[in-house]
Amino acid sequence: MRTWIMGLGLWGLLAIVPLSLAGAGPAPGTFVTVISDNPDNLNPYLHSLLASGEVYGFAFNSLYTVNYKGDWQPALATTSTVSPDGLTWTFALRAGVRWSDGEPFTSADVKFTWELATNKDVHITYATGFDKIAAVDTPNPTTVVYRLKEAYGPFRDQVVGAPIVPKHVLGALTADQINRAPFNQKPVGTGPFAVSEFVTDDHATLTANPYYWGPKPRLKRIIVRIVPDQNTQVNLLTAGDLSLLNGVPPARLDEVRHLPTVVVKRYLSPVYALVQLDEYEFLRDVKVRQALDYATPKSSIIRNIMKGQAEPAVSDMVPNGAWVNKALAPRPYDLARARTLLLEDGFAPGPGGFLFKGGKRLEIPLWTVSSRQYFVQAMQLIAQAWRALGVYTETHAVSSAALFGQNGPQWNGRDAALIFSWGQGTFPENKINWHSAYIPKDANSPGENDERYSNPGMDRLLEEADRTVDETKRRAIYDRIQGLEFRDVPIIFLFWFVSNNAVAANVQGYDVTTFGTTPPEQWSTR
Amino acid sequence: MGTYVARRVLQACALLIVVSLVSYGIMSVAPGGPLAVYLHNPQVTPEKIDLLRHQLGLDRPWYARYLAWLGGIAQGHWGYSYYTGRPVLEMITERLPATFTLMLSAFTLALALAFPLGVFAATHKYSWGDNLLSFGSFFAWAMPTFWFGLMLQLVLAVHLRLLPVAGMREIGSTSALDLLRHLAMPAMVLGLGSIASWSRYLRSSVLEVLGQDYVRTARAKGLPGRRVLNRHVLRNSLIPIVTLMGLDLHALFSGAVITESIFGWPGMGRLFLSALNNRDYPLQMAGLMISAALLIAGNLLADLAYAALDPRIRYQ
Repeated sequence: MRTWIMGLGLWGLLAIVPLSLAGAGPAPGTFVTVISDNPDNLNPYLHSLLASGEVYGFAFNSLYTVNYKGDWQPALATTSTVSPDGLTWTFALRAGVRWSDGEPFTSADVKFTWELATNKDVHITYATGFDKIAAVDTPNPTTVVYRLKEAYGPFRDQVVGAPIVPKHVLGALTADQINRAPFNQKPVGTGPFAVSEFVTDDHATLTANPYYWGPKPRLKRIIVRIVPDQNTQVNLLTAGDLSLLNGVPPARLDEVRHLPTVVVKRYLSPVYALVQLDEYEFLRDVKVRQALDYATPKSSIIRNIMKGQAEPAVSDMVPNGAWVNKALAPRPYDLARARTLLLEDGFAPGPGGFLFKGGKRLEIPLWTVSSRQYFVQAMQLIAQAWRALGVYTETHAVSSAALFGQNGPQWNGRDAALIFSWGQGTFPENKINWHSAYIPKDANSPGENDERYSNPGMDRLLEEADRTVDETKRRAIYDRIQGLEFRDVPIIFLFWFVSNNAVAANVQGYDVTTFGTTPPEQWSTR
Repeated sequence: MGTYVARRVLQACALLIVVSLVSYGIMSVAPGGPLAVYLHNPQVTPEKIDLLRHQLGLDRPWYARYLAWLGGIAQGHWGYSYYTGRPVLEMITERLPATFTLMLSAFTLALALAFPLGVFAATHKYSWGDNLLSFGSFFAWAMPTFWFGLMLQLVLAVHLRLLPVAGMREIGSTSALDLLRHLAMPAMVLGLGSIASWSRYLRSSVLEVLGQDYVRTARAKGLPGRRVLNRHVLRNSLIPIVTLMGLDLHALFSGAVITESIFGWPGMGRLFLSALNNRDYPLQMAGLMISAALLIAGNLLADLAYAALDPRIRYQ
């Protein structure tokens, strides 16, 4: 027994002697950040998780890109022209650009990206807009001409801003080989950093791309660690192991703010929380939906549940962006007004204090995802307010896979009112949320318009927005679309999320806004 | 003995097929599916989701998919992950070293601590040491893994800066010492439950054997106390513990999910947890089958260990 104890003691000693510089922080020139999920695929067209973009985002470029101030700027292209009918988009490409393996970048790569995105045998996920392209001409290595099937307003957001992938790596592969290519774990791009190592569920290392066409990256490497637990992530930050922690969990924000070696950057995230109102039975009635909007204590949710880490929402356009309709303001929390609306609509008080119409009780169950504590709390607050209005409301919190998957309550209208979030992003395109063509037909035919909102006027506006290339005219159309969202209340807009990124004090050149970060080639560590 | 083992292995294979059928069936009728992750992503159109469903073969009935999966397994093909497109076997193989390192360390730690603690508690019945160990065992048993893990991190890594917070290695390091330092906390957290339960079982088992006639006889013969304890008491006390250890082999595998998540350990637990969340059927099935196989193998090993420990037990 004594030998065992001695052995253990030795093991224990070895384990606790501080042999490495734990807590000393990342080495100069190394920038360490962390993500929760393991990136599933580093091919920008094949991945399904946001975490993948957190890695491949450093490694790829698009023709044009949105900078952190929200403005478009040239990247792999230098100039562009659009024909008056909006059908022909011509780009002059930057000369002398090389892929991270040293091969030259040409217009053939741009054409190949379109061919990949529209290849029906490849497991493509993100390729909206590429189907609008009839042909891509490459008259010379530095010119690309897209010929569209029809004028398509979102072309810039969806295609011009999409990453370009290399033909010389993927072009000779069959669809099946592309689905399983080593490129999916170790891609070749034109971005400032290139993936040099990817250890699944552990980390990805990106090293400065020696062939990068832009300013030479100031960092030698970026390490993206993969740690699922948010508390562990904060502990890593506290121990000095991280340069950047995206999205500090609200519960530990105060603690992080007080760390002397960390600066917290607060910004509005382009993701909003909502109550989706499925248009079944009483919820088909616009008066009922408006009344529920009045009866939803949005300010109280922002103040008491989100602890101020959220901002009011009135439409699906990010409030600090160029597309928001500034004439709109959220409906205030006003139970009296909500009740008046319902009484005018033919509802009358009945047994239990609930409202009845045609002998039927006004019943609207609330659902949400159980994994998001703030949604579960918001659901209780909303249920309380709706009950006070006279609505019979039961609450259900279930897993997101069960809620959104096939045969889940999404498909049968049982989730009459569903609380969750939509990542709208900073672009205005929202046709699949509101157009009647996107109403799901059955459990096997999914659609994004799960609220089953159908308005021919809205359909026309959405189609017109798709066809309109002129930005001023598009903006006017989206103003009207938001007006309809506000009037018809297909969903109740709860709030926009606020994110807080913690940055180590020795990091320079890093900033973040709703639209993105400063270019990573400008980041440095002292 | 050889016939017995062969029969048990055959039974295990049949059992595994039943387990796979039931698991596949339940998995397929459960709400949600591999494409649920896309359904509320505005960037993925319904047309794309339909196409993906067809590409992944999800438009076929579940029993057809099951038969195809079983046929693949019979030929050694575990299929491809729906998410990464990589071979499932390759994904598992690259996690095996991390998982086994953690499992074996936790197992060894539990073994090394539970035995002396259990024997000490039994031989010092109702002493302050025994009471302290009883309290400690119940406390450890009741403590949630994630909480204990985070507390260890806060104390040992954040405040005292003695150990790294998470991960398996310093990036780029290949030293065994570095691995050991990263292993210390997760192994402690994973092994703690086993230390608590095994030492309690061993305590009661040793107490029971201490009262047996043959122990009294051994003492009456004038054998030294240590020899009585090691030769006569400990060996006879091991049978219930061996059963427990056999079953814990599987529990260490599944229990590692939380520990791996807290400590960012790149093992199989996390792989299968994300497979479950994403409904990545081929990967999910592989996880379930490995877990079931470990449970069955643990039982078989425990049964075989009985014969080694107790000469009265003979398998036909």
